[in-house]
This record gives sequence, C-alpha cells and structure tokens, in this order.
Amino acid sequence: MQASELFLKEAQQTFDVIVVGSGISGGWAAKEFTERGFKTLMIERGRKVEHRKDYPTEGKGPWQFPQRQKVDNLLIEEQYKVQSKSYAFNDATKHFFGNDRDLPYSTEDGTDFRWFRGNQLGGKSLTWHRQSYRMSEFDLNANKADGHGNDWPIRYADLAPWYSYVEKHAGISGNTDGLAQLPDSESLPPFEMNAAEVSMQKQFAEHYPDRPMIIGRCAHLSQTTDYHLQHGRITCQARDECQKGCSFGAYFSTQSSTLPLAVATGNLSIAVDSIVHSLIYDEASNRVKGVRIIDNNDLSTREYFANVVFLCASTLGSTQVLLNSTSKRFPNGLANSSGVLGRYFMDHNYNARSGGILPGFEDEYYSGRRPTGIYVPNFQYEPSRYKKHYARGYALGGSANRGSWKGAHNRDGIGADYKNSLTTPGDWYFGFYAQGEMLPRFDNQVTLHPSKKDKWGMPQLHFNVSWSDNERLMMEDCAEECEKMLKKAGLQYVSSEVSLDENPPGSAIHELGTARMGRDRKDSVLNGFNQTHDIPNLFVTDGSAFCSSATVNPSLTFMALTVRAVDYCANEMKQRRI
Amino acid sequence: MRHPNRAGQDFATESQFNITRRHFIKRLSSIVGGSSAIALAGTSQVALAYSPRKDSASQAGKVLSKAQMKTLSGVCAAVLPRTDTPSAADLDCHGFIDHQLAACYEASEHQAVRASLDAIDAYAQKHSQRAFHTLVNAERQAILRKIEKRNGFSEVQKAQFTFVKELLLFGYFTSEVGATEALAYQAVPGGYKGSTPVTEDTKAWGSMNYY
Repeated sequence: MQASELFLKEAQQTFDVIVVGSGISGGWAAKEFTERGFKTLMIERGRKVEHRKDYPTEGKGPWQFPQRQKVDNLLIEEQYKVQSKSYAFNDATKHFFGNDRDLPYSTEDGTDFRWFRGNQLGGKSLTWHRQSYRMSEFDLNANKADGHGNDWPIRYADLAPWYSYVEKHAGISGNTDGLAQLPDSESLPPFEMNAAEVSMQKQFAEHYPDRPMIIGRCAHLSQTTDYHLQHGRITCQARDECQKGCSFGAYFSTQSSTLPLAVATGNLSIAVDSIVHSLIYDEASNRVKGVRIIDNNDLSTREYFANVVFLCASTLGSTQVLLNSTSKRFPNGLANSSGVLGRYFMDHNYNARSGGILPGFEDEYYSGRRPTGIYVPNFQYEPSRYKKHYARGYALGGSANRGSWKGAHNRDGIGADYKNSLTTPGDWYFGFYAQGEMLPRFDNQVTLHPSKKDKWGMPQLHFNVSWSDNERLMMEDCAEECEKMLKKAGLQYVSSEVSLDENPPGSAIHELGTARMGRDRKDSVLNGFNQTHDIPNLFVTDGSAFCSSATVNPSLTFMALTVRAVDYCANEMKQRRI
Repeated sequence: MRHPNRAGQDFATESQFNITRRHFIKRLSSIVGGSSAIALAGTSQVALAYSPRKDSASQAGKVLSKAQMKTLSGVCAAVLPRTDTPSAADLDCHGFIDHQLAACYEASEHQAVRASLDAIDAYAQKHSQRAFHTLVNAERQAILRKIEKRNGFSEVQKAQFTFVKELLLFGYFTSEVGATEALAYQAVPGGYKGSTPVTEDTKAWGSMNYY
C-alpha cells in the first residue's frame, strides 16, 4: 500500500466519486469505480485496519487471553452490552465490534432492537458469517406474488450476470445443486459433508424430496486459483476463526479482496475516522455536491466533494445520513419525497432451532473446522407452497458435530472415566436453526430521535421495529417441522425451541430495507439501479435498497447490486446524464 | 476547511453542525474520556493470561476464602484426576476459577460457588470429621457423586455444583495443557476433511472456533 498518499484527511479536489463506507458494498463500489478510471474517495467512520498487520489476535490459543476469550463482565456492562449478544463477539474479536457506550440508540416503548456495529476500515466484511447465496426469481417476485411490500423493480435476469461477476472475484465455495429456489453460483469446490451429514442428506432426500439438504455456500477459497493468488489470497485452512481476521486472505473481506485492487489502480483515496454528518445538496442543480464530516477523534469538521455520491454505509448508516440531510426541498431527509425513507425495515428471523443425537457413526470423525454448515433452502418459496396460516418461509442452517467437553458439565460424572469421556469424541449431534423471512411492513420504522444525539452530535436513531404474528407463526411452525424432520431421520432425544421473545429484530445482523427500491417514486426511495428517484447523482447500494428480505444471507446481493449500480452510473456519467 | 463548490446555503442543519466552543470542549472531554477507557480496554487485552501458580490452594483468592480454595483444589483433583495427563488441580484450575469468577461472573454466581464449596466441606467434616481437601481422591469422588445423585444434597446444591463443574471443565480444557495434550489441537488444520477414522488413540479436538 502506498500508505502516505492513499490515506488523506484534508482534500482540496473534487473527486469523481465519493463512496461512503468501506464494508462489503463500499469496497466493491471503490474497486469498480477506480478500475474504470474514476478518482474515488472512500470514507470510513472508523479507524484504519490494515490486512494482516491489524489482526492482533489471529492464531492465538484460548490460554493466551486473560479470560480465555471470555470478556470481562464489567467491560461488557459498560461498553458492549448489545455487541456481546453476537455469537462472534469475544475477547479475540471485540476490537472489530463497535462500542455501545459511544453508539447509543433508542427504542420505542414496548419494542427492542439490537444494533451491531463494525465501524472500522473493512466494516463488517471482517466479521461477517460469509454465507453466500443468490436470491432467486421467486424471491424477487415474492412481493408481487403475495402482495406484501412493493414489487422489486428488478428480476433475477437483471442480477444473474452481476452475481457471476462478483462470485468469480470474491471466491464462493459450493456445489452446483440445480435448484430453482436457489440458483447456482460460479463456484469453487464445495466443502465436504461429514459422514453423519451425508446420512442425514439421504434421509431427507427420501422423506422430504422437496427439502433438499446441500452443503453451505460460503465466500471462502476452497482451492487456490491463479487469479486469487495474484491478489495474495490462498486456500482456506479451515480454522473458522475468521472474525479475528485472516492473513491467508481465504475469506472475502474488503481488505483481502476488493481494496487491494482499488488501491492498485492509483485512483483511490481513503479518509478514515471520518463520520459523515450529512450530504451537501444543491437545490438549484438538484445534485449532491459532497459530504460533511465530523472527525471521529477530535470532532473537527471538514467537507469532501465529488460529482457522484454512493452511500454504502450499511442499511441503518445510510438511512441515518439521509434522514439527517435536510433542506428546504427535503425537510424530512434527502431523497425522501416519497416519505418511506426509514420504513419497511427488515431483518432475518433466526429464532427457531431443533436438534438431537444421531446414533452410530462411532468410527467417524472429521478434521479441521469447516467455515460453513449444511443448508436446506427455503422450500415455501412461492404462494402455492406457503403454509395456510402465514406467508413465506424459512431456510435451515445446521451441521453435525461430535460432542466435546462443552456442555458436558450437565452430564453426571466424576473421575477418570468421566475425564476419558471428555477427551475422546462424543455422540454425534445434528441440529437445524431457522433463517426465516421477515415481511416488509410499513410500521417497522427507524427515525431520528428528536433530541438525543451521540457524542459527535449526530441525532440518534430511534427504532420502532417488532416481530409480527407472521414471524411468530413461522418460527413456531419451523420448530415443529424441524422436530418432525429430525425424528423421521432417526435422531434421538430431539428437542426444539422458539426464541422470538429473547432475540429482538436486529439480532441476525441482516438489516434490510428503509430506503427501498421501487418502480413508483411515490412509495420508494431508489429506482432499479439503486439511484435515488429524486437526485440523479446519489446512489444507495447497501441493504437499505431491499424490497423484501427473502431468506438467503444478503451480502452476496449487496455485492451484485453494487457492481450493477456502478456499471450503470459509470455509463450515465460517460453519457453526461449524471 | 471550505471548498469553492460548497453549497452552504442548503445546509439547513448548519447551526447544529457548527459546534460552539463550549459544546466542543464538552464533547472533546467525553471523547478523551472514551479514548482513555478504550486504552484501558486495550491494556486488558494485552494483559497477561492467567499463569498457573503452585500456591493457589494455600491462600485466599479474589473471590474465594483460603478454606474454599483448598476445597476447590480437592474438587479439581477429584473431578478430573491425574491420568496420563495432569489433573485439574495439577494445572491450578482452582486458581483459574477464582480468577475467572472475579472477571466474568456476577456476585450471585460467586455466592453459588462459595455455597457449593462450603456444603462439600461441611459434608466431609460431618461424615469423615476431616476437611474435604485432606481426603483421598476416592473419598472425595464418593462425596461428589452423592451431590450428583442428590443423596444428602438438594436440587439447588446439585445445580451449584454443576456450575462449579462448568467452570472447572472450561478452565481445564482451555488451558494449554488441556487443549493441546489432553485433547488434540490444530492451530492451522490446513483444510477440512469430512471423514477421518477413529482409532484407539483418537482424541477429541481441543481446538475450537469459539470457547
């Protein structure tokens, strides 16, 4: 990296493009614009994180941490009360999570919300779960088919070539499964299933032919290719400690994948520690001119200017900036002539699970920590397949593993035999968890709090978001169905649970909607190219653009939407329409 | 910084953006406060990991009394005794549990451990007229099995002991010896194989993604 020129604080020039955010969407936008020759400024609110150099906990064993990777409870109480609810939060990863004390938000009485933050260069691309699935034609048609939400202005054919484009670069491991409900990716070889999973796969194929079980697709280099080697990326070593950062560059992150190429063009500048307060809007020309910044460290203010602005600041981050950018023409937030900015918030619903013991396979074990699981794609993917009492469906994630000392305290046992039972592979356990769709609802809304501000003076977000009966009925049904499936497949001691009341929206860290796309500018913020209906040189290409959540993990679609939007925008710039 | 292209007239929120000096200082101090807290947190991250001590059982800990530490060392030796690998007491899991209780657990949880250890020692005193830690391992194990069977112990006492066991297993199997010698540890597995044979020598994996 040419660090001295690459990172800037003050800038006199007008850039071709400003990209706000450096996560999955921002990294792609920066790569695509710089490779097309546009001088691009990437703005990140958090600190600089350099690939390899800034992964201080990578490769450390638990005994090398003061509390063996658990976090001091006083620190959690004071600074990480929300963040600590993430499965991935621990002493080895907490430096890639935001500090709750500095990042306050409020919730409507009677509602709750968990907002997970990743404010650093690379954003949540460093800590994501890396599951990568295409949305299908059924997903993009769902709102039209059943009347919930507005119709997506795009269809699968619009995204398919862009999915292929990002997959080849990012590196997605998986099978070609040939399923209509889950289009195949351009794949690197799949990770293997273990013996217990292969057996479960056969059981489901026999008893539930409409619910095929596949190996999870993930953004990992399951094989070193010459292409990825050029970028300094090699094969996944199956450590599954990805959220510490990966010096092998084996999983897709901004640092491993998009940023190196953007930097190599010489067209990229990066402003870190720069919190976007609002966008600078010129009413006479109806264009955004740039952004207003508050410095993360010393609270000084500055401005950056560009011909085009891409908001890639995360669903809630982008919406917060738009809501906070007010003017005579847009008193309720920039590009909000429709009034739906902040509305139709969605997350995924991971609040049902079921599991049990699979007898047999005592001679089978596995080696390495696979960074993906098994997956059953949504099998209620069109109205004719819905359950009668609720709309849409859920996918299932899961895996089979042999028991270990974890959880073994609940088993009676004292002495040498007990110790021996903990140091040899235990029973096979197979479990499913739900990945349910959340309906787009007008009432699920984020607004700016009228008076509360954070320490930088930004109005706090106020959440009025809750699960509806549809989500509750879906999770209850999912737990029941999973139990049936697992019993049918021969599992013993099968149990299930629904955890909707323990985990409020936000918990899946798949925030979507709030600046949705649409054909009708009266009820949507963005057109089918992620361009705001109101202002031609303003684009939003993160999860806020989504019209429905579908059931698949959304990040691959963030990538595809972003590169498609850049391609469109670059062409419009060339034609001098922007 | 001011830029020639700046469209200041549209900055409706100008007043809230232009921070007064007083507000600036107020906010700055809150940020400085935040920074030093972050620095402290950073320090705790590089703070030394718990190092096993030889004398943990002969003195009071941060949470547990000297007598409770002695009892706990006896519990550690009994639950995970010395086999071809060290016992939990050999690895000073009792010292680690006290350390871990202080850092990661609440007062009510401290109390549960104290109550459990007191009940164990009281049982030994009553039935053997000796302190628990002075019994031989077989005698200690007999008492602990009674707890698990709720034979002379209540449901609550069993739950308290299960919590002690949880801390004990965590302490043992996340220690370097526990993770790498009692179990098999792969720092860099090199890839995933879905099917490997289990032989008489196969140990469970001590390397995990999350602990």
